[in-house]
Amino acid sequence: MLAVLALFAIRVLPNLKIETDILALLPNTQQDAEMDAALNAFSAQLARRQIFLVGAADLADAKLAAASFARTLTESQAFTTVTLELDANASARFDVFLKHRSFLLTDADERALSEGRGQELVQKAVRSAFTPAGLMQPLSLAQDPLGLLNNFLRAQIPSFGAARLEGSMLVVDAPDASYVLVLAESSGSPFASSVQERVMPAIEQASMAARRAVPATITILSSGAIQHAAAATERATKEVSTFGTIEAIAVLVLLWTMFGGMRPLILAMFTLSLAVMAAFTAVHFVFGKVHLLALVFGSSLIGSIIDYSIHFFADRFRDPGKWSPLDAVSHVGPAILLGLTTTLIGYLVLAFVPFPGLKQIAVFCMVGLIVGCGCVLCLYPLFTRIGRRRAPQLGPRIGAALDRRLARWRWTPARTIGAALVIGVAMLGLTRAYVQDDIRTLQQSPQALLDSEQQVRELLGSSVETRFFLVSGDSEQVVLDRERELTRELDRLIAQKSLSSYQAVSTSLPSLAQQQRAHQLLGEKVYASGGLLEQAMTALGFPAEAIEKRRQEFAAAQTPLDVSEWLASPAAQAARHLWLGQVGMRYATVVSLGGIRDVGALQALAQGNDSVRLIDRVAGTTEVLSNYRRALSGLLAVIYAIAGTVLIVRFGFRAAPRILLPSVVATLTTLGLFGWFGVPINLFTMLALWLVLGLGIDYGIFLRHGLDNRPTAILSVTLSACTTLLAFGLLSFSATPFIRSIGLTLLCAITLSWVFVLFSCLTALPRHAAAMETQHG
Amino acid sequence: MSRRIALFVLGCVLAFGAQAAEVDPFEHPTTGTALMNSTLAAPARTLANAKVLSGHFVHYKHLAEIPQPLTANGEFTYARDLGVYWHTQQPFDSVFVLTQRGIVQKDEGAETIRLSAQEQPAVRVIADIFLALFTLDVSRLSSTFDLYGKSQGERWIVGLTPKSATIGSVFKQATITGQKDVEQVVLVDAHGDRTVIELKDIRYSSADPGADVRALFATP
Repeated sequence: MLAVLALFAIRVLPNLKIETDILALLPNTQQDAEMDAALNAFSAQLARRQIFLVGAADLADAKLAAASFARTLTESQAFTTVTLELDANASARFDVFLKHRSFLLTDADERALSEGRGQELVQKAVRSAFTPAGLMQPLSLAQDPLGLLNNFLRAQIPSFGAARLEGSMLVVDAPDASYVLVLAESSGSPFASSVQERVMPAIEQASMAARRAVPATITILSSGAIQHAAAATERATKEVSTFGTIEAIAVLVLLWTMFGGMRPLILAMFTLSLAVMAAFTAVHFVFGKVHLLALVFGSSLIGSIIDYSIHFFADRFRDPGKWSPLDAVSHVGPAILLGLTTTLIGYLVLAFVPFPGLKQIAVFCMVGLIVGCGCVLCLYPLFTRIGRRRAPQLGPRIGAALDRRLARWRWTPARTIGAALVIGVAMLGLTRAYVQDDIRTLQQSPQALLDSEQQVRELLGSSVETRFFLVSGDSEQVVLDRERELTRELDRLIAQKSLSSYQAVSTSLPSLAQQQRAHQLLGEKVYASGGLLEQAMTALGFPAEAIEKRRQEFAAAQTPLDVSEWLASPAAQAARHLWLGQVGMRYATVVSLGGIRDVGALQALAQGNDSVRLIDRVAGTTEVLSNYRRALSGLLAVIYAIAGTVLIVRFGFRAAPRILLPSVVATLTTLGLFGWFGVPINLFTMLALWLVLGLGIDYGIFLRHGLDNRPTAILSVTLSACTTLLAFGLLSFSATPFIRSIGLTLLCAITLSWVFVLFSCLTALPRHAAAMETQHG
Repeated sequence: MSRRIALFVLGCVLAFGAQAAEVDPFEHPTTGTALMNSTLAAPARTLANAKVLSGHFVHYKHLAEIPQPLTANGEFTYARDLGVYWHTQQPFDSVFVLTQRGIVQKDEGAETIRLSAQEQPAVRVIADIFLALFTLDVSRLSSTFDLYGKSQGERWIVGLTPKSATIGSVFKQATITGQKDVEQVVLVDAHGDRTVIELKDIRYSSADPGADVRALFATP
């Protein structure tokens, strides 16, 4: 025990990592673990990016504020990069392309040359020398008379949406304000609480600095994963601590009123803390971090472990005069162990579902339950003292009152039909039940953040798409060639307005085969004697020496651009993150997309092609959530069947259904009511019903075990239900949708279970009324 | 540095015998507001009311390796809020339309160049310079460029150098000279190539652009 305490205090607590990302609960979507890891790294890198728009009515104010903002962010060191002014040295980025210019051509120019439309290129080049279109080219007319390399270089400029270059800053105009763009990349995963703790205050300080910088009103908009993640963590931890505190106080008051004296309270709290700490320690060592959801389910431990304490202490009311703690062990011990067994079976099944989050919940709950149960059965008899004071009578009175009511209850035909009708109608709601697996509705951010995100999207005129293509192959060159084939199709989609943009490695790094083709074309059509270069330069009036100089340059550049040189050069800056490189035995790149208008057209490109896949992280997770919801629904039925078998073995065919059915009916009725009231059903509803299974069966077992002293058994079960409702009912008020789902489900299902189990186990069923009558009378 | 280049440019301008200003504007740093209040006060007043401007232009491109400048001429129309319609007539027929959306060039009716301002930040810089030339709204340019200015009697000259190295890597400086109207613009790119644009016979109209003018900008 002390070892657990010490371990928790020294090793676990300081290193505890709370994970809030729902995605972290999910298994990976692909079969290929290495590719998954690469894709995760890519997504993680995207998730670290944060866009800020610093705006003011006057652009000059916005610039000053943005400068202050960016400086403060940089000084905070919470971000690895903060970009306010674009890379000044554009020519450095172009150097590597200049060096290999005799191997580089855009797709359009390559087609024009190979299809014999070279004259068009000459004409266009000559004309642009006489019009303003020839201005602002990276290379001069003399350096690039046909504009072939200029075209290639122009394709390298990444799109910034609606932003325009104002000086070296990117600026977006709105009707009432101008915004300056600040790009930042945080130093770690946005879902790590340690990163959030560094980043959020830095953003806060930078915003204050921006507002101080100018007297005008400054608007700061932002877009990125970290603020959503931080908001989720903050809200969830606040909720868990608020609800946890209220719940703990309420449970304490309840126990104190019912049992009197401090000893039961202290014992219960000690058991609870020990169980929770043991559970945390186990999860920490098995998984490395603790997911928020495990934490939420952890509070179900409070329910179950307090239940064991309640059953133990309530046993005292059975025979207040002669009761000793050891009596309790022999009397309620078997019931507690049986309840624990059925619950553990449930969690054991959960532990084998290949779903990291569920495994965590299962480990957390199993360890907590075993430790808690062990405490109750081993420590309580040692430390419980029977005080001289008489035990408070409120509890027994409630138990007795409920018992009298139930004993007097007769199932008249009218009542039977009435109850059947009510339950039947409620269950009819099942036909109206609707399922909501979309991850976005389960993890909802505060409205202010969503608004800010939406505004950024509208101002920039583009959004970060969650879909992208993954291109893979046996070698770097194969991947680049496949990617080029794909981008040709994407160009076609852009022309059809199905897509607005894409970003690909091969735009900047064509495959070697492609480069050789370009080189050959350039040699034959452009640089050859009497070729296009000579025609254009002569038409413009260049002397023969100038033409010869270009030819010599072409002849001197004999090596194509290879992958390692590209990766090492500043030219790769914009696309380096798309290069996944070697992944296991294969190589892969990502083609990112912008402004998707026709998903079907994109899916068609990936169809029947293993090496080009359209990845949709959001749809992928939604699909996984939905698969797991279905799997859990099936498993729930299986667990009920197993639990039913255990109960039949223990209690026989007659009694087992009376213990089991209340939970089953409560579960179905809850889902029916959700249908009627339009509450969506998701994976988390199913997880909550998992808890209902354990608790509901516990109630039945206790009532069945306690038939010799019904008021005490009723009190015990009623108190258990109350503590669980206190623990989970509060979660219904959570602002985090998935936690709210769990709360609502338990609130409804536990209440129903309690009512059903009392009637099912303690009232005489119509057919057996006479038998029960004699037994009681 | 900029002074040396300025002198070099001045030398070139004198050597080529183009209409050159007598003074080097780059010795006189100023701000957009100051320019609007003093040097450009008179022409800016004229332009403030004009909604449509039209006239002739001559476009010279001076390249280091070619002794003779490449010369073109034609007609232009500037319409406030619409953009610039630049119709080259000699040595060939070419229409260049510049709007806030970007650049479209059509040669003999066929579209040959289309650059969207959204995809090409540099296009916005050209657009800004071009549009400011016609409105003389240099205060708008003051965030992108350092401004210089000097007037001598009726004549004035304004200089622009880019503030950022990003723009500086393709564009060195510009001078705008004029008297009543804008008469000449000289753009010097990073490679030392010089583009000289002369504007002539400028007509002003304070009426809203008519359907005929709007049609010029109605490129899809």
